[in-house]
Amino acid sequence: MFNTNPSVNTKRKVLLLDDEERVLIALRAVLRHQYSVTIATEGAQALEILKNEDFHVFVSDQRMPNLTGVEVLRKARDIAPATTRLLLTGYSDLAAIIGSVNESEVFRFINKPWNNNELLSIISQAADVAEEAKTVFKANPELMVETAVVPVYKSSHRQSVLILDQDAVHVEEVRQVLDDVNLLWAKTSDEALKILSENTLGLIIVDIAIGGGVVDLMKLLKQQYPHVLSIVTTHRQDSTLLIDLINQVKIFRYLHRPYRTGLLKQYVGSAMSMQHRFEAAPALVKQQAPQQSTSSVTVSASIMDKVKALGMRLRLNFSTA
Amino acid sequence: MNDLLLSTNEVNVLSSGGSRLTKGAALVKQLLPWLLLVVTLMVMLSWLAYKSAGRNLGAEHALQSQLSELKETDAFLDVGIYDVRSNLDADYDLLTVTYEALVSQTKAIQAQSKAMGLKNDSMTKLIEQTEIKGSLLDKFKAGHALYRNSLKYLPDSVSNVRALAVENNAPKKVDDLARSILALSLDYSITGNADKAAELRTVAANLSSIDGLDEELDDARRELVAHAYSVVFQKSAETQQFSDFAAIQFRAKVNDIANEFQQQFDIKTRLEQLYRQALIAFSAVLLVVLVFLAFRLLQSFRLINDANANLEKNVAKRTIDLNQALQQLQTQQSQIIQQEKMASLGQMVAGVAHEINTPLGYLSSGLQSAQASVPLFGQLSQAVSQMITTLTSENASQEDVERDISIAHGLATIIQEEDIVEEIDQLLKNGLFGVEQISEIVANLKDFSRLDSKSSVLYNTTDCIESTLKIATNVIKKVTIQKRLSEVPQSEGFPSQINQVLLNLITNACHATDNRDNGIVSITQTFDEQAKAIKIDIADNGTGIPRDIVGKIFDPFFTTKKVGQGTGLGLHISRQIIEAHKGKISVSSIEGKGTTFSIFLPVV
Repeated sequence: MFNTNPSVNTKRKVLLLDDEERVLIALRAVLRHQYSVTIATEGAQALEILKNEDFHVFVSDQRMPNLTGVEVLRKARDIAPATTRLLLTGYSDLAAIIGSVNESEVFRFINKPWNNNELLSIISQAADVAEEAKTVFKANPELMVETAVVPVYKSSHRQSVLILDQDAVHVEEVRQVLDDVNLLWAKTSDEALKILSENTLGLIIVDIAIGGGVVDLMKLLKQQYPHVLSIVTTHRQDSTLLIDLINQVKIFRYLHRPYRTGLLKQYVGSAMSMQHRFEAAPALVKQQAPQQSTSSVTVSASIMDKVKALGMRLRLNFSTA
Repeated sequence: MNDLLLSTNEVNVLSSGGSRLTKGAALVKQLLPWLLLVVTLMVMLSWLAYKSAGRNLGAEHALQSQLSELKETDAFLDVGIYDVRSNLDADYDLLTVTYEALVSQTKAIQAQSKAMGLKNDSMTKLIEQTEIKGSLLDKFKAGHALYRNSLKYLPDSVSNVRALAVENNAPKKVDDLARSILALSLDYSITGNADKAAELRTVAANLSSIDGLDEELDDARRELVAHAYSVVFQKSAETQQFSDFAAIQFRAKVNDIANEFQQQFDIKTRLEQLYRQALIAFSAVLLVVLVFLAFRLLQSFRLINDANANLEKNVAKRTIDLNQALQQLQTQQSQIIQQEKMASLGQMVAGVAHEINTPLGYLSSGLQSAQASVPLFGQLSQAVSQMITTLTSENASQEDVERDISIAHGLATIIQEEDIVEEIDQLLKNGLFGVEQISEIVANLKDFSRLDSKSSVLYNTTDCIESTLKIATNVIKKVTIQKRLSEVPQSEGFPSQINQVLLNLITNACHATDNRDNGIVSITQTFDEQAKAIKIDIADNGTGIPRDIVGKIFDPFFTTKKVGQGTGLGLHISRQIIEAHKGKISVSSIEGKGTTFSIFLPVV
């Protein structure tokens, strides 16, 4: 812990926000040797600091008196898009989790209590990603503007999107909504792999309720091809699973069924916009890096092979897209 | 908690008809036409019966026999008259008596017939006839007296005239005529022959026309002629009277009257018969109707019996269905209540989990950090002892000494420069604080849930309030709590339920102040000596409750939250709990200003 001791000037900066000071003290004790740590106990205070200084990482608690963590992080995304955002929480209610995915694009979820070493590893990764993003945004400032609200990006050609779902009615609804997209339908993981092997696409819409190891498949896909974004639509409400999806699949957006179709259109637009940014600055893909879980992803070897075989198809090759 | 299940028997009392009194009146109204019909029929029946009843024939018979008697009397009268006519010595009295009897009988009959309601004109006429008869009789009596008189004295008068004639040497004519008068008078009086009467008149005229008679003879002759004329006159008058008498045809009239009466009697009898027939017909019809009704009644009885037999079966079946439905409802109800408890529990758990995980967080991290620095202290302690060994050793080189001092010093410097001791001290202190926090929360949980037995226990509401406030720490975060709790005596009940209510109210109060920066929730507890009850007010300065909603907030399933965010049962169950504790819960609110919930708990 004390071996790698970078000088103050090169220490990367971390901003910590929690209404309980003792948490901040504990976190600082962990991080201060490697990072330059700033602490805050109020959301407004933290955002002010963020406006005035550059940070690599911003860690916020969820349950706070005035602004919740998700709200703060959402504002932080606008103020400092290059800063990697992490949510630290003692109890993850579903609304907060969904918010953290859909609105504040949180990089990772950290549960209290945490393991110090794991924490260090996450912060390190987060800081790396931030550095990459910073470089990109410096070169292309226009990419900093998140057009998630009303996506303006229009592709010059029809994009293909895979939908992995067993509900024909829902698929039809999606087809109606995404009228300018080539929607490809798979009912099982195998079918999905087949489609993936025959098409070039950057977005999948998945109903995780279809089971059959689809979550593991998604984890695998994200590990191999982090630029492929996923939007999860499902009836299921499982906060543990959702945290898993956020951390290990880095799902782009989450929709709890039934949902407003307009919202899906909006999210797909954001995904397309993100794809566009990937096209312009492939380094941004690093923001999509999923957490490599300690428990290995259990998929059969054949599936593993199939996924790896997708390589040529799914590699970033936007010029032919 | 079964007594807290919503009462499935919120019975709506049927109020059609209202009180018993108006129900009775309505019944009467319904039955009235039928009642009237029955009464009418009864009246008709009795009237027919009355009309067809046998009347007193005795009176009628009596009347008829009275008329017969009258006829006899009249006959007797005739006989009397005849008797008087033929017998010069007959007694007039009998005649008079008989006539009086006739009159009185007739009058009696009239009166009787009038009393019996018979038509009376003929009787009136009859009475006239009796009067006529009476006057005729008088005339007769008077005339007859003269006649008798004349007849009696005629022979003497004739003898007188004859003697005088002889004496006076009257013409023989006188003597002949006188003898002739006598003979003719006797003849006429006996036979009544009209020729004889004419002859007698002629003879009397002849005698009367003789002149030149002696005065005495003349007087005697006049007397004789007078007698002769009287005889003739009276006799013919009598004859006339007799025929007048006969012309009256009294007995025939009486017969007519008798017939008339009989006719009337017959009509009555006919009428009676008709009424009897009508009565029979009517009775027959009624009987048929009655039989019909009886039949219908029997039928309906049979139906009722059948229905009764089935009723039990149907009721049993219906009861089973209802019971099933009831069970389903109760199950659903308890499920929903369970869900609500779970939901509120979930909310509580959310807060409590966060409350526990946060101290766990810094406690765990602090210990990890402290542990991570243990090797450093290990190294330091080793370095120091090495250094001392080197320093106190006789063999040690200056290099060794400097090296060892340097190592120890280096370690010490790191520790000091990095403020490691202070940091660890801080972390461990915080950690211990965290342990206390967690213990307190666990203790609060225990207090709060107070897993009670089924029976009620003694508890103090002050403890409940404090306990709930601790549990709700997370919810209360932004809000300023003002407590004003007076001492109150112990209560008896289920404190875990009271806690549930308090948590619900305090949570609501805190949520209400979400939009305010200076949210204040005040909790006041007082004891009302007079009412022997504890009063707890939970007031907030939040958004208040709109007037049109305030009456509904205790209703089950009423909520202003979005779908999925609350079952709407919280306040309803709270009220049920308070009422189960024989208390009351009420609310007062001003939109924009704030809301106050008041709990009133009697101390038994």
